[in-house]
Amino acid sequence: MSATTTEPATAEPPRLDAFLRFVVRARQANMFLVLVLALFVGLVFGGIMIIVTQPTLLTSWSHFFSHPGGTIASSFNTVWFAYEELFQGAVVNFHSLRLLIDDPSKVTLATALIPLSGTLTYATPLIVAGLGLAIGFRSSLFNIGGQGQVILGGVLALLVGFSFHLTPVLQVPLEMIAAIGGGALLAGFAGVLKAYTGAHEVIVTMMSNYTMIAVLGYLLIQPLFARPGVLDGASKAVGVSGQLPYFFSHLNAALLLNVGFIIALVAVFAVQWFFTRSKTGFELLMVGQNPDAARVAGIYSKRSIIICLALAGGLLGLAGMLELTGVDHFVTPNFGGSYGFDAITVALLGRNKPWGVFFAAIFFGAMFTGGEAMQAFTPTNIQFSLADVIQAVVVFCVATPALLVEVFHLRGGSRLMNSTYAGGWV
Amino acid sequence: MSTEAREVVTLETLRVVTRKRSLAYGITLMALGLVEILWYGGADSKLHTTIQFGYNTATIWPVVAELWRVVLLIAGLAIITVALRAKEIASLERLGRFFESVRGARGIAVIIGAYLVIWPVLLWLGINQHGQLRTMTVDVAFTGYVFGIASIVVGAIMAWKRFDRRASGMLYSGLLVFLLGFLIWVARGSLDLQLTGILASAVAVSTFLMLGSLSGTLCERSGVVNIAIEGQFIAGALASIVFASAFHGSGVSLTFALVFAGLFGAFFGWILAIMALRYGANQIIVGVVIVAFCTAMSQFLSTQVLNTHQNLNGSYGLPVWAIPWLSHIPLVGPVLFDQNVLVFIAFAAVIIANFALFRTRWGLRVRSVGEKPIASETVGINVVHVRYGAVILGGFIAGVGGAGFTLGPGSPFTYGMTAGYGYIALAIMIFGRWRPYGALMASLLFGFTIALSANLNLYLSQLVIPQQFITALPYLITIAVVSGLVGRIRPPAADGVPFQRH
Repeated sequence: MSATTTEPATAEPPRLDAFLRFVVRARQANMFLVLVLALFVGLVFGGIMIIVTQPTLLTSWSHFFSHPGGTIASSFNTVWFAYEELFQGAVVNFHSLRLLIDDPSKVTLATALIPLSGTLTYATPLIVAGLGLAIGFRSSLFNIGGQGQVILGGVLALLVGFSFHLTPVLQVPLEMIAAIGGGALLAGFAGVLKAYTGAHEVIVTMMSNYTMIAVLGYLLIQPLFARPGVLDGASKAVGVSGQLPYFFSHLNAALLLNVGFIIALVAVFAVQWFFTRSKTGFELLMVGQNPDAARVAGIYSKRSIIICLALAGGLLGLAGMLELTGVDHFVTPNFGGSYGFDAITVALLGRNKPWGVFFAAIFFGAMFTGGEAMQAFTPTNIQFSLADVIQAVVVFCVATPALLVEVFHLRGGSRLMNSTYAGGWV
Repeated sequence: MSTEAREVVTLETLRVVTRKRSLAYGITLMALGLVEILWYGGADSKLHTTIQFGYNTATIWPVVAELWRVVLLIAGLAIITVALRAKEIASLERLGRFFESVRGARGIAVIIGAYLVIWPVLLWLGINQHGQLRTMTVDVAFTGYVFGIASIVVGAIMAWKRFDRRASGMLYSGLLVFLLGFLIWVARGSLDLQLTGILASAVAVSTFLMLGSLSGTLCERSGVVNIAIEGQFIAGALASIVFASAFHGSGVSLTFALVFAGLFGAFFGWILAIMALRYGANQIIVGVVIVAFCTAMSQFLSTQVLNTHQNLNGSYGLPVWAIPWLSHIPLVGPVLFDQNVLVFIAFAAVIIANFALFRTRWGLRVRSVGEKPIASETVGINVVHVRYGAVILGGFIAGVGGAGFTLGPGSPFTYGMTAGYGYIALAIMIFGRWRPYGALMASLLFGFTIALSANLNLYLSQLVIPQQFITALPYLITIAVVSGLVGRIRPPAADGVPFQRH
């Protein structure tokens, strides 16, 4: 707000000492503060969940009034230990870090980086899938059909992967084209229905999820896809030439980081460029933020709906291909299981911005790998789904900042709350 | 797009639309009949199918002598005729006025008459008179011809006469006949067609679909999109079984378990309401996040707590009520009147909700708030309060529906047992045109396809089309429905739009 010329400047703000000024500034709501607070709330909630579900801790709480210190200490210890394992499983193991300091060689470095590599490997398809969802969200389209598009992309990539045996330089792009085409086709179909019949994309894409699961189940028992002699429903594997090469597997076989991460990075840049520099991207943003203004400005909303959903679906198909050719190289009946829905939360956590999605996906990857480590190494056997709970709380706080703004009495929070308009079903 | 200009709907354009629709439906019916003749009629003429009409030995279909059958038939036909035509017959004018004045009397009379007609007809058709399991054996190819020719005749009449009103009802009956023919064809040969079992499980499955779509209907009629039904299902399922197990599944504890499940659902409805109504957050995002939270919490609690404390996750089923007299009707009795309590609760909830939405002051307010909130506020309705009430009540209903996953079949909670039915309930709500009775019918249809795909394992060797296709059928139907292939849909005008006081 700038002061008008006719009115004299308002009275000077009262002078505050440095501490108070810091407090006031710290309470100005911005996205960084909201993220930190969301993480804090998530961890606190997770901690409460740990305490409530541990019988030994509950017994110690029944003695709270006789030994308050011991009760708090044991609860805090358990929670702290779980989160320590979570961190070590996701980022870097302190023990291997010490070994690295003692003996700085390539091999120990590789060992120390195993958790980080796992995080990034898990995050790779999620980055691309989250970008796809973010494109939809930014133009107010809710593509819930991520799972179906991931499945179709993965299946088409698999078809290319085991049918041809070219060089990787040729075959990987071929797989990418097949996967992107498949995802774009499926989501574009929802877009066409939305544009011409008014069918809401949430329902159509949701139903395409279940349809694709059924189709996948059907394909996996067909001789074209089924791996001979295997009863668990796994498909044939992608040929060696169709697999994404690993970066560091020569140092340690557990380092699964592959070329897919580079592809995901390229996708982040591409989407960034698309929204900030391209005409179509600008049109999509405009349709999303104010459909009326977009229509008046001459933007053909039907076309932009179809383009937007097709682009989103293409990215989700690409995510399916990265998932397929990155680690497992074959498809199982529950392929692409939670990617569709995780991608939604990734996009929400990243506030639909390309780099936000990038870091949100890495956060999700960290929570996944860390959660598995936590389950494996805590003596109290805390299940890895605790990481999902923490994630859900964090996403809840970030997607609807109003709650944090209210609870922590942040100032100027209304800026953060202009979330997109939901709209009905038509 | 709500912003685009709508064409003006006059009586004339409406009539043109319905006549066109009637023509299309008639052609569809004729095509169905042709498929029935070619497909089912082409079966080997020696093949027979035995249909099971009941699995409950306590309900014996009374066998009566030939003479009494004729008497029953005539009596039934007479009752139906009187109920439908009493006004036109001069000597029965008082009876006609009675049927006009008392709501529902005519329907009951027709049902009683139909019962009296079907009873002897089924006996003549050869229901097994001596066995405890009542069965009927039909010729597959002959059934195909009968169904097909009937379907073609009805379709031709419909395309020729262009009925306005009855078109969709006839199309749905034609589809049901087609499905029945398909079942008879699939079960040809040695295996019995367990028709009662399939239909009963269809009704059981449609219980939580009914409650879920009812919840969605209530919320959206008030203008709030409740996509969190899946989360409320999960919460209700988990809460109800833990509560029932903790109190060892006595009758009282089961009742309270249902209430407890409802309260958990209502809690998440309340959160949705706060975020949507107080802060004006995007309702779809809030709903998706609530589902994510409930999914994660249920996985955590079931792996962390319930796996080690099995006594908190027992198998306690709701009691099964067999309604006297009604449960003895073959096919209909075991399917509709011999079910667990939740099925009756669901049916009652649909009827009550329909009455409340369309016949009470509260319902009028809910609907007006969902259509034009500014106008409602102008006449003194507190928009936010009405929406709070509707969303929390909707959450309660969805939570009770969630109890149907665990307490209904009496199975313990497992992670992922809701299997996306909350989202299907949303589609059913749209299919049912945001009306409780529509939701009821659509739920039964979806429940039937779900039960069908689950039961087709029995006949897998005789199935030509892949089973996965049947599994995908409800979803494909949904896509067809929301894209307007089965008529135009019109949601509440203010659905999903945050309300700001002016």
